[in-house]
Amino acid sequence: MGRKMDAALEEDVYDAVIIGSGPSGAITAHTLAMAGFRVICLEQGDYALPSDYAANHDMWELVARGHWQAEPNRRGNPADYPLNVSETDLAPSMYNAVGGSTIHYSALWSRLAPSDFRVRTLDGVADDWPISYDKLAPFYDEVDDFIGVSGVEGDTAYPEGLSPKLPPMPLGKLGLKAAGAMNELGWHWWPHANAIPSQKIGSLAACARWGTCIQGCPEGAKASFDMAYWPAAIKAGAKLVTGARVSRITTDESGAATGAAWISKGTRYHTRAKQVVVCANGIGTPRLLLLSASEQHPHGLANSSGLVGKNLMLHPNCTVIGYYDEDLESWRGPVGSVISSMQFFETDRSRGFVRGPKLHACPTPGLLFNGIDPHRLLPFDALWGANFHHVIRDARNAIFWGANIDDLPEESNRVTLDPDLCDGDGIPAPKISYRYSENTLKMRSYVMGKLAEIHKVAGAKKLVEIADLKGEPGHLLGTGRMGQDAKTSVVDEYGRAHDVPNLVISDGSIFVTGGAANPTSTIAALALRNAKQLIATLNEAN
Amino acid sequence: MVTVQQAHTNERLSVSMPRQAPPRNFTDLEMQTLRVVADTLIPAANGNPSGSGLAKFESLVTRAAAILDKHFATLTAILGELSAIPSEQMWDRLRELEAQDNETFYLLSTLLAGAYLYSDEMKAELQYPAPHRNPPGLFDAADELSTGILDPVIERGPIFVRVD
Repeated sequence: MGRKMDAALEEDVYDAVIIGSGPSGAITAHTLAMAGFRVICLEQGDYALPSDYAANHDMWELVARGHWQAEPNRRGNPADYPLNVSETDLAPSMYNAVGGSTIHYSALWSRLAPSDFRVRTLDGVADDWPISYDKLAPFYDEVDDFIGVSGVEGDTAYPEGLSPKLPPMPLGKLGLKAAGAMNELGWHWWPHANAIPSQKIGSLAACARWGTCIQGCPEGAKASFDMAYWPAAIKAGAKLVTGARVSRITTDESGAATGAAWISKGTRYHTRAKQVVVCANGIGTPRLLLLSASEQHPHGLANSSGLVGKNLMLHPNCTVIGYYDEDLESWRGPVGSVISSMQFFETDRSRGFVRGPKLHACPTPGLLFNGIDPHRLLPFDALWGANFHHVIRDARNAIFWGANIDDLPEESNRVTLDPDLCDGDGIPAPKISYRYSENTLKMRSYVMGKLAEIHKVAGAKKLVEIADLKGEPGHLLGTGRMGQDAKTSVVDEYGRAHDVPNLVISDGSIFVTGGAANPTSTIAALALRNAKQLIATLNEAN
Repeated sequence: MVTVQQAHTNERLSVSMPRQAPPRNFTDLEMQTLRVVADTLIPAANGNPSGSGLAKFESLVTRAAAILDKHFATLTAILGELSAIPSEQMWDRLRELEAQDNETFYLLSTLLAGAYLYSDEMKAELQYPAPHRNPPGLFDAADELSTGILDPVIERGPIFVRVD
């Protein structure tokens, strides 16, 4: 970066500076740029390319472990910042790159249900969202159509009108097996909607079923947002600066945001903007807000409620893997999920907990991932010694039935700044304090039994039950919640900070409750809704 | 105007590619210890080779160690410790290691299991497909659904709670 560019960056006043280039940052950049606004996005990482991904390498499962770990502390790329995970039941996963954690998400594209927005009203716990499903539905639809979600219209778990743009991928032998068991039980299931296009759309290729979606798609056929949205955003005029680690959001004497201070290769910069949009998700966003304390905002930016960083929800996931005799072609992608089930997601108090889980059946590519590793939870000689040879053969035909647990908000589950731990630029790192709630544990125990029941009906010969699914909680939610009351929430229904007139938060932080759906779809819809409101705000100001 | 800046031109910030070789070669003693551990965890059975009974064992574990290069110091440290364990006591020592230092055991066993599964012999034996392009047929999904497999779900109707 030359001096001329340095000076230009410092002198410019953008209409908006976006912090973080994940799904919400990409959508915000695209939406504002398409409306003609000058927008810049600061991303601490850089691009991961389809040619980089593990599937391109021999011993791909080892490459995925060595260099594509889900947990940043284990991965340790230059773009990563450390997390203090000494006081959490789960170590969160995330990816710091253009596209954010969609680099290694599995692209399960499910929506919150109408009742998820009314948890206080229906169940007497947590809080209602300040918006409804109906308000968000058009934004869900618009994002779905843009990225090319594959699926089948008419899912009976949702209101009418949910109609994925692209046809579904085949269920395959595995999906048909799973669906048959659900029919036998009389339980809801539906072909899972995935952000994995079945046909070429925009900058994405059609899925060729490599089966390595979580470790990155070498085909360029997964809607990671570096692929799905950024090319269009840049074409529309958005500026994306990689290698730019934001250290604080700057404010003036009135407390309004003035821009973002950032560091690149040890050099400090400041980018000025009329609006600041934070898109760093449920851990990065509260970290940055807390780092941005000032005389006007002594407890952290937008934190007069004291709720910045609190109510962290991690969606603890669990699974029961079943091994079968017949050939299920479990190596075949996408992963992605073949079918979902919302049979248990609405509250039934007779179960002893409120809210409920979402279930999904997935293929299980990789003999290490789905043969060796699950068996590590069993006694030593169930995997090693003579049984090793049985394990690697059994792994060929497995179904991963997993569940997302609706993790209700609790203020004790939170993100704070660690007093000692810092990232590579000397910026304090986040500390994660998170413990399972009683409701979470009861729900998990219940659904584990249901997952095992499905496998038994389907004829599985062996089950491995995994209550704590490592590397899975990439769902980082709730640490800057939405609400109508500035005393009990951080932002309003459009992500606008109650305390700061020109600060918007547009990521998983603003979730009021976690729901059981994989959250990226909702994060994306909220970001689009917030960005369209921001257009109106900028137009009014101009 | 299209503008993409990459502040770091020489360093990948978000991707660390696997090395072609580990930080150093295994010593003879380390390689011998790897053989003993491999044969303990994966004994020969039913015509399948043991963990070290692969034609290219040394190159396979070296390749695996290169991929797992971030943990090479941990790996060589445990090999140093295990080199003093007689082979007939190795099973018990490894079981103890798994219980007491799971991360180190995970690393060691993953390296050896990975080398084994990605050997020519076991690829040929298992015929387990490596990731590859296998796009579906145009009508595969439609053919599945046209069997009526979804009909019972549709017939039961909506299952969600309606709210105002």
